[in-house]
Amino acid sequence: MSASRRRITSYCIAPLALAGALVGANANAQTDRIDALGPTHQRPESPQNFSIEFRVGLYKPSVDSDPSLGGGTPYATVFGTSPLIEIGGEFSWEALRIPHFGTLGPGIGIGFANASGDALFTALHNGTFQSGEKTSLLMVPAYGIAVLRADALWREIGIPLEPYAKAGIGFALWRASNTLGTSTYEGVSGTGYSLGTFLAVGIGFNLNVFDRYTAMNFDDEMGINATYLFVEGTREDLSGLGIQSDPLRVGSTNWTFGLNLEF
Amino acid sequence: MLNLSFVMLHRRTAWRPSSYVVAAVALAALFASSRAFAQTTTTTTSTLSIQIAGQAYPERYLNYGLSNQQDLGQSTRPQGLNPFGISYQDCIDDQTLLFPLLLSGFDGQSLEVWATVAGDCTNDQDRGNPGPANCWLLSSGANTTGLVSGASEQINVPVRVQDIVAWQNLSPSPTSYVRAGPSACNAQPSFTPVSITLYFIPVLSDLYQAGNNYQYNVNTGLVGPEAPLNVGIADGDTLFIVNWTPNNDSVTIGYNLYIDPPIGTTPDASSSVLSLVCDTPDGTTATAVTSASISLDASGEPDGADDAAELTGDGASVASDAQTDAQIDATIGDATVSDATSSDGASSMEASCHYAYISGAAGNPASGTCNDSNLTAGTTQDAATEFFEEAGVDGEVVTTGTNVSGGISQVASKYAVPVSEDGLNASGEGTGTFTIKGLTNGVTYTVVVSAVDAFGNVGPPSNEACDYPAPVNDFWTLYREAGGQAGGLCALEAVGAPVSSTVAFGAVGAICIGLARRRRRGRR
Repeated sequence: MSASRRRITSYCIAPLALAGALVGANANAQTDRIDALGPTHQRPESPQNFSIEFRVGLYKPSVDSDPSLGGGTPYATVFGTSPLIEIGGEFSWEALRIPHFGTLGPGIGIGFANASGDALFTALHNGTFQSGEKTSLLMVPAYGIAVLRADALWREIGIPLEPYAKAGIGFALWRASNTLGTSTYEGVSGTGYSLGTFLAVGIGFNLNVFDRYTAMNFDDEMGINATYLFVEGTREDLSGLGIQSDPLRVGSTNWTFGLNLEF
Repeated sequence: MLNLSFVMLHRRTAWRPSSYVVAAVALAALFASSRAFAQTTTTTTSTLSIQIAGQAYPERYLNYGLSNQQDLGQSTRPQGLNPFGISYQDCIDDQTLLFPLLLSGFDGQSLEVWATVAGDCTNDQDRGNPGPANCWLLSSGANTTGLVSGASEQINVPVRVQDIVAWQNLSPSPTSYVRAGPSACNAQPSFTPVSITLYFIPVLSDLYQAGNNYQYNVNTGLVGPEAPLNVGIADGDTLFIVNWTPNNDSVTIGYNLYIDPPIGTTPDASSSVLSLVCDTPDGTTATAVTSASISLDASGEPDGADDAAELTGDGASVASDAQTDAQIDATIGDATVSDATSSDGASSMEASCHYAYISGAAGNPASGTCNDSNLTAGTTQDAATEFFEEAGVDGEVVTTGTNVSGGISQVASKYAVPVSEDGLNASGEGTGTFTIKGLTNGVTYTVVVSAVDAFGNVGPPSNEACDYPAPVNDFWTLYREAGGQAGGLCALEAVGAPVSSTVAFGAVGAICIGLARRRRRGRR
């Protein structure tokens, strides 16, 4: 090959190589971005160690299920049978990552629900049993649980769903009151706590799938790795845990909805 | 006068030297005399002054000048209730405001005190000198006539509240002092406060103002707000929840409630009858028992023994089952007619009854129509004309008036529901409910509500609402009576359980915050 020909060849190759390098770099950049946001999570992301939930539940205290009431239904008589709105929150630590499955860690949660109704006259009064006095039952259910989340569906397969399960100890503080303050019956005040178990299974839908760019920014700016809308079947059985006799059964079996942020 | 002299001098055309000398001397004399006059005038007006001494507000007195004079201080009301204004109560108490004034420069003038709503009492005409007056005379103090030029002296000038407010709607105002009476406290035709300015004026013997004056503004509110509407009662256990439609005016700041019989008192046996009142079995209307045998103990209350009652109610459903005999187990306020059978044996009858002190004729239902004269006393300021005919003792009578709402409650204070520190039962114009506690179940009470303004004026009472409190079962009672065993956390509180749980929650929160902070540092 002559020198001139080699020179011409080199002139041709150089632009091609440059073009190829540019294309390659661009393709590599695209791959990085896609991978970073995609299900395989090639992009370096912020560490994920915690989860926080904002919860709204349809709370139905099972007070009347207490055998000591002998079939009586004081709760339903006063407050009716419609569910209450429970507002709550939960925080969990994703302490252990299980390869190709998800995370496992402890968590705590607390909620707030209030039942209110008209107190009833002991005898017919002006043609009605319904008095003008209010009576209420304030409940603050809380729990300590272990949380198992299967986020490998999203991370490794790309399905934006996260099944999860929770199990642990339930606890609730409660207070019965009327217009004059805390209720009292024969010297026993209407305040107490109840112990029991807490179980829940649910599934979260990963909202990152709708806008990956925003999700990436959310992670960069706030450290939020994933945002889920979830629905959960919750069962809090506050019947004493075998160590508390005759607690007020303010536990509930109900649906809970909410928003879960993992960070 | 000086200008006139100059004109006269310049018009002369023939002048001799002597004339110049004379003219110069005359001019100098005129100039000197006019200067001296000007100096005298300036001295008089600049040194004659009136100032309030020592305190910004006048002291208030009852029975001022009498042996039983009582110093009330500068106000009788809390700061929130317009303490330096004049309320109806201030007026009806015949308070006297004592102004400590520091006078100087008086030389034969006398001090007069005038008042006006919209006039200017420094204007001689507004004091009727001459013409119809817009100011009325409160005091013409002779104490100042002896003061000599340049001297300073403090004097106390008393002004009666009733004199201040009496003539605010009279036109023309009285220019001679007329001592007003208690009816002056009805002078204000509306619950809208009126600002009255007092003028302390030095006047000459010919009644013309002769120097500086001192002015003092005082707000007057003599009419309480309108009564709230639609007062009703929701009954509870030893309590009433009283509801009403809140006022929508510019003066109401809260509400006071009145109840008869007063809380904690025994109903007046002379005007009340202990009666057994039953509700009809079908829950339609309250029905009075017109014939009942009630055994009473020494204290006058049902003794709890079984008694025979004859139910002859006036409700339709009861009437068909008239002449029912029943066994009654009762304590006051709570009775149950059990195992009742109508005399015809056709049907059994369960009725809910209670004992109640009923005012008036037997058979008056415990709720519904009520007529308690103790709580209906109040003035409604809808007859302004009547006031002026009464108060116009000097013959100046106004025959027109504006019909307005509002007024002053005359309900005796013993019926007042105890108020909070701000002097109100319910604070805020928009408030429409208040719970009266400490009642006796089964006793029929009558309740009225009055609106209160920023002067502490209590407006006329509302419509009456009457009912009786009765025992109720709240959730807790039903739960425990059904056999529930929970409760009594107070015992646990004593050993610190709630505290430990709170600490646990707080610790977890602190851990979370710490972890989040550490993580943010790691990302930097």
